[in-house]
Amino acid sequence: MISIERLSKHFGGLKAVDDVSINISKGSITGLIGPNGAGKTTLFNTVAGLHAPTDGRVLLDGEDITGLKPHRLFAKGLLRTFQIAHEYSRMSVTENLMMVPPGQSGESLIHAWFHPGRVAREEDAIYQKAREVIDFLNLGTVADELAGNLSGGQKKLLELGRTMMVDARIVFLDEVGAGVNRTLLRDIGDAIIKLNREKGYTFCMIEHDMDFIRRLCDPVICMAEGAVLAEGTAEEVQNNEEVIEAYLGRGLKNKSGSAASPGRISSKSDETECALIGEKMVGGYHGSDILKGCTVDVGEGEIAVIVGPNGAGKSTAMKALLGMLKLKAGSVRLNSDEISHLSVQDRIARGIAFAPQNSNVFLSMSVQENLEMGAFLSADDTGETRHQICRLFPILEEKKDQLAGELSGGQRQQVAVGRALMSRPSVLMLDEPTAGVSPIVMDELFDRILEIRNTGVSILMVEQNARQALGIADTGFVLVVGENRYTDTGQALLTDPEVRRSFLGG
Amino acid sequence: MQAIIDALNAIVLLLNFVIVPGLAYGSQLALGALGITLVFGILRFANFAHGDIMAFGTMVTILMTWWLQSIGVSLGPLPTALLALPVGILATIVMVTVTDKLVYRHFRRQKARPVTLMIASIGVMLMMNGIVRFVIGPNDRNFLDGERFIISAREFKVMTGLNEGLSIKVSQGLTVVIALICVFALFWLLQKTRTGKSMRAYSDNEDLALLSGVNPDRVVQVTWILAAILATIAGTLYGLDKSFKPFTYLQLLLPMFAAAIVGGIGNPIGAIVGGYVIAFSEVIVTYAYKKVFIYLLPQSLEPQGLMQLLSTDYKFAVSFMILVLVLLIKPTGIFKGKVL
Repeated sequence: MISIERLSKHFGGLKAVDDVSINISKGSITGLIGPNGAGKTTLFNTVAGLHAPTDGRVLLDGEDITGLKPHRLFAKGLLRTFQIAHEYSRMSVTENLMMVPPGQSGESLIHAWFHPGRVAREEDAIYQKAREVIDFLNLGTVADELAGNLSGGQKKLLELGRTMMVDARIVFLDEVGAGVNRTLLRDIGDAIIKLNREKGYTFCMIEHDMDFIRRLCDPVICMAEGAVLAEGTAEEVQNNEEVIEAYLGRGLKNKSGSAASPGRISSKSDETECALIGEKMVGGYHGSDILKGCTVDVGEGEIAVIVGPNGAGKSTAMKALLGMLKLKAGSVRLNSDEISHLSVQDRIARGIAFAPQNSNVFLSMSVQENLEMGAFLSADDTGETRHQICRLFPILEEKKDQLAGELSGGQRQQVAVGRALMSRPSVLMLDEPTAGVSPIVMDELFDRILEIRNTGVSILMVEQNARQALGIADTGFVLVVGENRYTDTGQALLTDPEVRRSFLGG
Repeated sequence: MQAIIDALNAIVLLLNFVIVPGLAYGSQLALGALGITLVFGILRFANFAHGDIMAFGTMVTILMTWWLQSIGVSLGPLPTALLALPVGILATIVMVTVTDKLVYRHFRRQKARPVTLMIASIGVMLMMNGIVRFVIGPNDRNFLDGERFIISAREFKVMTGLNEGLSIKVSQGLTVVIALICVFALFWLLQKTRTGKSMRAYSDNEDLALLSGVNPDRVVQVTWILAAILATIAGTLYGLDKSFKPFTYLQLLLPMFAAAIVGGIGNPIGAIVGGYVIAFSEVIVTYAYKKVFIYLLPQSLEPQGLMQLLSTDYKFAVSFMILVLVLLIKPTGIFKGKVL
């Protein structure tokens, strides 16, 4: 049906999609999985006409459709949906669906005035069609509701419904399952299967939920670093050792002293004081809970790592600990003091520091000023602290007068960690400190994190690169959909095959 | 010899009618644009009430000046308004702080979108405009006293023996000097002090500033104080240089916004450069160059018309055109501010 031939899409030096060839056969539901940054969405966008490919071509039933604009592809029956549902929020569900068919004669002023009968007949037909679609998707109860008031899952169903209004031939679904609860996800799955069986739709979908993939998709394709890594049934791909490795991240380079010493791990027991603990945390955004009673903690002078698949609530847990997210239940304690009621600033003043993943530096300020901002709350001289940090990250001394906005991603990450350390925190929280940095810098950063730990600072971090992070962790938490799935020492988690599989999600 | 004298006469003409007024007007616009840019960078909305904050501050300064004049206080050659200025500034600080607490704080807490705050500021603008007109009336008010000229055209002619005179008003000289002092003080504050750095940090990355322990309420308070100081000074200098009329300050909003956007909104250096760009463009395209050409060209080529590109009635159209062009070609402005 669609064959993608040696397709590449480069952004500057970044090869987001690199020489990918995929065949999607008529009537199949193809699943596309892969760790973050694998190039899945870029591949979708390139096929769907949002990006012009750097190289390669796309054939739809033998016809070259490379680089056609989205509306032309729409006319050929190739549709895509977005990870975040797009809807006309001030129109009813029925009206949203009726908007879809192109070239309605009522859109023309002449027809609207002189052929009211024809316009009315046409509109009737479209209305009937919309009702059919609504029945098909079980949206009957909300047919006259404004689309803006629908739940996340219902919006996804509406998105599917729009593809039905024009009898699509092939539909690209970008994470239909993201942010949808289990019950609705089953409904969406049912709808997709029904469309596939009864109407002969072909689907290709990016999805993180492995249960969902297992139920729907055959074949499943796994991408990593812009290339196809494996293809097969869901079972095959899920048990493919290469795939698991890709999800776990790069291996820890062989270096003595990098791993946490076994002595430290065994000393972690009930009597060890918790530096920071978030207990049975429940909370989320817009009414839906992302954290469902998970507990994370870090012992004094230890490294704790939170890992887990996308949407597990890792970053949300960090925000809850910092007070950037209001908890519905559960408590946060710092050195046994309850701090749940404190504002972000007050928690910072108590000795927590945080280096966020994105926008982690003041771009328009010099490196030196970034560090000064880190010590904003400390009244006394911070020169000594700055020296220590510069010894840890020499680049901060070298580039101290340069604007942070001119630095590379890895250098910014160092500035971010340095800034966080300036307040002499007792607990340092890092959100994906190695996201988007080169492998060499990544190794460096992990070494530095160990050194910081050795100065007595407790470190709690979220990491995509699970293997390397767990390698240095005293404690590891595997979160899945907002709950604790596994908790153990980093080494133990790494060697447990069950745990390894859980990284793929679901 | 005659050619050199003609050239000198032409230069003096340009100095007198283009450069000196341009510099003074540019400084006034720059001070106004700085206030707009500060509020935009830190509070993240376009404050349409800025022109009327200027009018309010100037009004208080004028009332104070009149009172000082009535009890016989004067500054000799300098305008008495300088003595009244601190009172005007204080009153304006109180006024903007109260408006912030009554109006803007509510929307900030709701995390309202910038456009909501902007529309709220239009409400504040209309109200403020009403108050000012109610108190001091809609008419022209002159409050300049002391010496009028640093150097008058007649003195200049006697001194140099040229046909054309160069006059520099005290108000023009004051404007440039005070503007310079304000700009240096502001930059020192932003670059060197803890408060200034926290403001820059807050403007750059609000979340990260919070994570560094910056108190957002204090940053907002300081920003309003600075905006009030700059607005009152700019308004008083403009009033001394031209005259005070409440509606003129409403009209100043357009060139001031144009200045802030042309320079790159949110960027203080941009606001200053933008102020001069707008001021000089206005003056240059509305000046009648006939006499300059008469000096420079041989008699046979003497121009018939006024040699004026645009009538002075269109001077606001000039800033508007520059604004549109900049938004089309380089929306971030000369110094790369935030895109509106």
